[in-house]
Amino acid sequence: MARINRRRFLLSASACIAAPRILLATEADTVRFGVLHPNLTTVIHEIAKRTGAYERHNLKVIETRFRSGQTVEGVEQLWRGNLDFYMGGAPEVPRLNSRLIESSSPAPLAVVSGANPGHTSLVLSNKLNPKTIDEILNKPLRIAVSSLSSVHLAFFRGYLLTEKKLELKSIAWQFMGIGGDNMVPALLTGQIDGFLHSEPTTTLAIVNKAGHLFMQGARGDMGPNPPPATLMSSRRDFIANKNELAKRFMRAIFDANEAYAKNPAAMTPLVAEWSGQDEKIVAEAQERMNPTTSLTQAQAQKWWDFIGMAMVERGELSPKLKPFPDVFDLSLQPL
Amino acid sequence: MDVRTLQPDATAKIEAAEQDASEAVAGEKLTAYGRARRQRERRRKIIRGTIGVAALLLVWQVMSVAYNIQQILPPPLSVARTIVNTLTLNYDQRWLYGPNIYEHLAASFVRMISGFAISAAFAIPLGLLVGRSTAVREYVDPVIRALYPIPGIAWIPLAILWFGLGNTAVIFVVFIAEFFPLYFNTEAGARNINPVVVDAARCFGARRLTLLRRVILPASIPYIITGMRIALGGAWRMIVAGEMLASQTGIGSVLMESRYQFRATDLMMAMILISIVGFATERLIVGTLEKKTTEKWEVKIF
Repeated sequence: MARINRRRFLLSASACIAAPRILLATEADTVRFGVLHPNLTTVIHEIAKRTGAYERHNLKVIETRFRSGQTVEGVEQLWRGNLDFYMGGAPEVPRLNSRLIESSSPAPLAVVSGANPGHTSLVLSNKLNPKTIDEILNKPLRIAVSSLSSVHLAFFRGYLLTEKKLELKSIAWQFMGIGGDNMVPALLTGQIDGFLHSEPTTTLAIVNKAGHLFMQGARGDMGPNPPPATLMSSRRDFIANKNELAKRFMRAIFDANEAYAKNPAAMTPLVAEWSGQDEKIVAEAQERMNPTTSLTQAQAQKWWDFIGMAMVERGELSPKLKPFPDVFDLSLQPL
Repeated sequence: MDVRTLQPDATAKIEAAEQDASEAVAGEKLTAYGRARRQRERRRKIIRGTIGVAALLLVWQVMSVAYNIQQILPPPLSVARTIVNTLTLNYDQRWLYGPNIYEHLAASFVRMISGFAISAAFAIPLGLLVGRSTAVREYVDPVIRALYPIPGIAWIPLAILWFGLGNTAVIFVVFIAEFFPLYFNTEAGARNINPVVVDAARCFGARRLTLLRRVILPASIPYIITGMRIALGGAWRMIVAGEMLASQTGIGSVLMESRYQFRATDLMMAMILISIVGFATERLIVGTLEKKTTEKWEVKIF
C-alpha cells in the first residue's frame, strides 16, 4: 500500500478541488449571443466576459459580432434560430414581430432588456447656433440618419409627436441616410448640417470640432424619462424551452451591470478596447451613456409610447401589435 | 469602304447596291414559306419562354406555401399584387420609402444612363485607339489592367469621399463599372479586324479618319454592342449597390429600406422592377443601336 506523504496529500487535495470545476467547465451551457461590434452601446457583454460573470453562471457564450448598421442581420439570425440572444438597435424586433402578426402568426421574438436610455443626440454644424429647436424646424436642414428606419430618427419622431405635437413631415428638414462612420466627415465637409446618432459619433464630432451637441435624449432635451435606445432580445421559444438558461444568462448580464455601475471610470480602457475608440473619446462619451442593461415595465411602456407609437403612426408597425405581450417579455428581469 | 477619292461613279454604284442588300435583309422580301417559318419560330420561342417562366413561378409558389416560408419567400401572387398596387400607387400597406416608385425608378435611370453615357464616351474611343495603335496600347494597357481587378463596389467609399453623398458618387461608380466591359470589348473588336479588309480599304485610298469611320468602327460594332449589353447589366447592379450606400432615392434605396422593414414582398417587388427596367433599357438602347448598326450594315465578326 502506498504511503501517504505530503506531496501525495497535496496532489489529492488539489484534484478534489479541481475536479468539480473541471466537470462544471465541460458541462457549461452554451448561449449563442449576437452583438453589435465595435459599438459602445453593447459593452455590457464584454464586461460580463472580462469580469467572469458568464463563467460564474456556468455559461459558455458563443459570440457572433455584427457591424454597426447590421442589426437587421442580427435580428434575422435570431429569428432563424441561429442565435439565442441579440443585443443591438431597437426597432427591428417589433418590426419583425409586426410582419408576422400581419400574417396572423404569433410574434416570434421578445425584447427582454434595454440599455442606454435617451442615447440619441442631435448634433448641429458649428455654423448653426439656434437657441431653441423651434428656430430651425422650418429651415431646410440636411440631417443625417443611419437610415430612414434608424432608431434615432424614430426617437426624434417620438419627441416631435409627444413634446411638440408635430409630425416629421411637417418640418422642413431633409433626412439623409449616411452610415455612422461617415457622419463626422460629412459634417466637417459641409455635406450635412447635422446628424441624429449616438456615441461615439457625437463625441467624435465635438472633439473634431465638426459640430456641437444641440440636443440629447439622456439629459432630458427630448422629454423626461427617455426610453432605452439599445434593446436585448431573444426568441420566445428559447425563453419558454430553456427558461432557466435564459434567466442565468440575464443574471450574468446583471452582474456585469453591477461591475460597471461600481466604477464606470475604471471600465474606460475596456470600453475603449471593445468599441475600438480612443480612451479619451470613450471617457467623454461615457458621460452621455449608460450601458447597464435592464428594463422595467414603465421603461418598456415609455419605449412603446415614445418610439413604438411613432412607428405605428408611420406605418412601420401594425396597429394590431401590442407592446405586451407582442413586443416585450420582462419575465427575465429580476425587478 | 470609302472609295470616293478614287472613283466617284463607282462609289455611287456601290452605295446603291449596299442599300438594296440591306433592304433585302431587312426581311420584307421573304417568300411565303420563309414568312411562315419565321412565324412558327416566333411562336415556338414565345411558348417555350412562357413555359419556362410558368415553371419558375409554379416552383416558387409551391416552395413558398409548402414550406410555409411566406415571410422570407413571399408567394409570386402576393408579389405580383404588390407590384400592381405600387405601380398604380394604390398601396395595400403604408408606403415607407419616400417618393413614389416612378420617382425612384427615374432617379435610378438617370444615374444609370449618365454613367453609361460618360463611360461610353471614354471607353469606346479609347478602346478603338488602343486596339489599333500598338504604341498607345503599350502605354495604356498596363494602367487599365491594373485597375480592372478592383471591384466596382470597392470604389464606393472613395466615390463618397471624392464626390460626397448623392448623384455624382453613384454615377461615378456606375461609370467605373461600365467602363471596363465597354473598353475591353471595343479594344478586342478593333484589334481583331481582319487585316485584309483594312489593307483593301487602304488600297482604295482610305485615310485615318475614313478608315476609322468606314471600316474600323463598323467592324468593331458587334463587339461594342456586346460590351454595351454586359455594361448595362453591370450598371444596374452597381446602381443598386451605390444607392444602398450613398443615396436616399432610387430603386436601390427602396430595396435596402424594405429590408430594414422586413418587408420581403416589397424587396422582391423592387428586385423584379429592376429586372423589368433593366431588360427594357437593354432592349431600348442596345436593341435600337443594334438595329441601326449591325443589322443594317450586315456586320459580321470575321
